Amino acid sequence: MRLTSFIIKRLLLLIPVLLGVSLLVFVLMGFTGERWTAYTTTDHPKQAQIWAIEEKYHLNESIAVQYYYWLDGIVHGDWGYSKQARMPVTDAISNKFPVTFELALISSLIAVIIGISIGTLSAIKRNKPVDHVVRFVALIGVSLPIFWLALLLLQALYLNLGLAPSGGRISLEFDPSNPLATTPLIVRTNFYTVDSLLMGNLQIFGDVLWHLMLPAICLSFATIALLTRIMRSSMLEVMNLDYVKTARAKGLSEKVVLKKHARRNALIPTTTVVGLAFAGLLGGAVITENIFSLNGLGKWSTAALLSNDQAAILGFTMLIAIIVVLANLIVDIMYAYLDPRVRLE
Amino acid sequence: MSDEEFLIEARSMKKYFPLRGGLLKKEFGAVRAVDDISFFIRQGETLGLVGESGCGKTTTGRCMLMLSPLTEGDIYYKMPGDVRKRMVELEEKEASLPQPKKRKKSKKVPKPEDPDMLELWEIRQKYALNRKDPETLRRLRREMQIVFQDPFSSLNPRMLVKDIIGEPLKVHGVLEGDQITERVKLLMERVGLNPDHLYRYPHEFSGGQRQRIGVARALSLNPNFIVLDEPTSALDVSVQAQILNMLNDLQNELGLTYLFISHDLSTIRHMCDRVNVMYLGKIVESGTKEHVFENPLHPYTTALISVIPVPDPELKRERVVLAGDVPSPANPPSGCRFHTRCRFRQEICEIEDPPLEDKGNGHLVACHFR
Repeated sequence: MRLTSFIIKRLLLLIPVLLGVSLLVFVLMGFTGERWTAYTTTDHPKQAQIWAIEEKYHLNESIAVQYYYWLDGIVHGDWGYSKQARMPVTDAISNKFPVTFELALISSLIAVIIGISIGTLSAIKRNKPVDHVVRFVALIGVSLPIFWLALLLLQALYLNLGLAPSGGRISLEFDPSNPLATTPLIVRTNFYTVDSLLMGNLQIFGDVLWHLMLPAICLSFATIALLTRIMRSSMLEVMNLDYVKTARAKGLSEKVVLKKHARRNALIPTTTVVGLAFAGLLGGAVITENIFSLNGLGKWSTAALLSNDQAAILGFTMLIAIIVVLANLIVDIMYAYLDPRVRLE
Repeated sequence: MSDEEFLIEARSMKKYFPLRGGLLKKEFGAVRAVDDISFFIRQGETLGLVGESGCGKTTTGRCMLMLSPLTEGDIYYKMPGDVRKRMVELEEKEASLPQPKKRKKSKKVPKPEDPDMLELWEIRQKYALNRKDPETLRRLRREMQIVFQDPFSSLNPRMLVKDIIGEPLKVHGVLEGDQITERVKLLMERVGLNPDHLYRYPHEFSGGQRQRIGVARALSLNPNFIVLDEPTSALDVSVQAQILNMLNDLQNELGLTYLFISHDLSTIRHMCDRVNVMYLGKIVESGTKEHVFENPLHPYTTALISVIPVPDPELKRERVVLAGDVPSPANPPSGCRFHTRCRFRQEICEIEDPPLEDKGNGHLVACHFR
């Protein structure tokens, strides 16, 4: 029961956060250009059309009133029209969110598995050659610019070796938007992995994963480095505590001591970082999505920014704010589950 | 010394912590936490280990249980008296032999060829804890346990009390399933905890209660020997007394052997049969409680004992206040390590390290003038 009331309380907190974020972005957007440009699809509309738009969307009123009408729309599910995506913002989000979500999820999984294991290894083998190699690689991982790494991987794996696709989410023969596709994917949720499984076609599922692999690896690099370092330091801290010595004195094997007593406790701080890194990946896979021609949130939001697509920018900002708050909420709940000392209040 | 049998004995035990620095982490020195000490504990007695913080008490305790590896020396466990006698003889012979050249980086020492030395080697392999393979040592851990100083960091915060106390039973396959729960309940009752609190986490208990959990955990495998590493120094005075009395009761009841580490002389006096006084990694005085407290011989012990508060306002006595700080164990003073702070310092103290010598009835002191 405590958990439910905690979740409700935290979700209520979402309201002031979203109000604050939207107010800030809304006011700032006012400085970037004429507001009516957000509502036209042509570059040179006639004066009458502009007036009509200004009339319809209350653009002649004060900014407070404009904000009120925009908020009214948001609440009623009308998030405006994204001229960049040529569809309503809500449609664009439901279209593009799955692309980014799949990418972020896979790359987080890779990062968690690799980062935690080599971080642990590095702590156990402290100051041994393995540790030095791991730390050096981790340092490189944080310092490598992603655009460079992505292009290099593409060159090597696609151009030279032909092991990876050039980009996109799915091969042409399965592409639902390709009229000539032999077995087009039936789109239900827009999560291609889920859709292919719903179709029961493992070949398409494999193809989707194959397309996700390279961008996910690229994107996971920085997160792996981050997790490795966090895991290493928190593991070292825990390994020095008396209860790990107690565990050894109990006569447990070294494996059990490290796994059950040390690593479980060392995972607590790492969880926080995983949650926040995942939220970050959802919002910021801009470069990766552009290089691997994935039509996700990152690609859409940069294009929207460059073409002053105000409805899209506002919608995107709101979405990211919601994601970050939810990610924090999930991390807090995980925390209480992982660490009995933490109480949800 | 005759062929008396000891439960556990440390011989020429050394523990150095290397100091590394620079780009290549080159070793440039070492903290000599424990520097060549020897002592023994008889079955069923309590040996006190007392000294200032940083003198190597805790390191000694941990090394006794192989919780950190020794740099040099051996720790013998349950060695029969006659074997010990023979070993001492052989050791004397070994010392008279020319020392073999020290090899660098060879971890495996070849078996000696001389038959006597081979016998010595075999005795050591058989009885020294530090020469046992990990699996044998792991099984031996049932017989020796430790209670740590800080009851807050010595219990895994993610485990239930039931699992903390019951885990050793499970790992060593002593009991199974419900039997474990029953035994844990019994142990909790024995150390004065409410057995209904089985399914609680350590953070839900007070410091004194947590230390009781630590004791129950140490007792769960019916050990023989327990290292008590300042078990009460993190607790309130009123709780300290409860824990100490409980430990005394347990010892009488279960025939336990304690190594009691503390910096508090009053507690040592209350708990111990014999006392070792440590200073900068060396034992400076060793003897029965009566020897050490009523007739302290080493100037360091005299100083320590003179400042124990006595609840008698009429009593006038001389208090010896030690000047200066403890020197760094990374760079200990030459000769007698105590000479920098000693009232009776003479020239010889700076040059020659006094050996620990018997001054009668097993009262050992390391001082040139006693």
